[in-house]
Amino acid sequence: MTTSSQAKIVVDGNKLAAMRGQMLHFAQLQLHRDIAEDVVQEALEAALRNNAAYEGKSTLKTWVFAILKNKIRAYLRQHKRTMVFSELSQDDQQWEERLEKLFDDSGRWNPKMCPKVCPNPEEDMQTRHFWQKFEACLTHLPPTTARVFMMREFLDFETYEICEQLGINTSNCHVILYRARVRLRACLEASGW
Amino acid sequence: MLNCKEATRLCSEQMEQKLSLQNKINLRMHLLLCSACRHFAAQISNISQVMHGYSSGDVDIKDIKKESNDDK
Repeated sequence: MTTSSQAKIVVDGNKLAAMRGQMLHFAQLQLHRDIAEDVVQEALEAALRNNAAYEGKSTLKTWVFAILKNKIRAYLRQHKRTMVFSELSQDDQQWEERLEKLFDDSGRWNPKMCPKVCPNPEEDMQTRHFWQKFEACLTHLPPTTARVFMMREFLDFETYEICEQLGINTSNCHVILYRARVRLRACLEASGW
Repeated sequence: MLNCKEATRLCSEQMEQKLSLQNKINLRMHLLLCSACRHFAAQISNISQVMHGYSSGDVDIKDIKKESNDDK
């Protein structure tokens, strides 16, 4: 006799297959289309192979996404790409122009551009409309900025590891993350948050 | 006294590493007095939370792509 706490939780292959689309969507935000396909496939296979490790403590989707995130992290670690300095400086001039619009000469917010919306994360997370806006804003970021920002906020890389992987220093990394946040919040607010 | 440009930079930096005590105090003072920067701080923390939720599979993002294609 097994008690219910000992009962084995079986991972349903059909349920996994149903998640594939969402996994792919997530992976494609961060990786080239073909690579994203491979990584998702690997994650699904790993989930099936190790289904005994799923204890039912989290939802199946959370568990599978954790595997997927690990696969994406592993891919990025294997394919370190040193950031070319010009990629960084390319953005500098555009950024200076933006700063001039955002802040006045004394460094105060320009009244037209200042943040006015106080967002509610729980609410945002549930609405599809928000995610559409969010992804649109994310794809408007300069590619390198987006890459660094997603490594930090989607994949939970520590700053030091981002620096190490891209061959940049901590202050460069902080600058990139700051620019990403400033742009993203402005874009979200402009599109009605 | 910090201006908003400096304050927003520290808001972001605070999400990466501990600020020096001096910076921390300066930022707190600024945020007490400046609602725009308070909103900024709330917004970037919201972005971090929702991205974390998204990447943890807490969000039902099934039809994002489909609908955004339909919009075009």
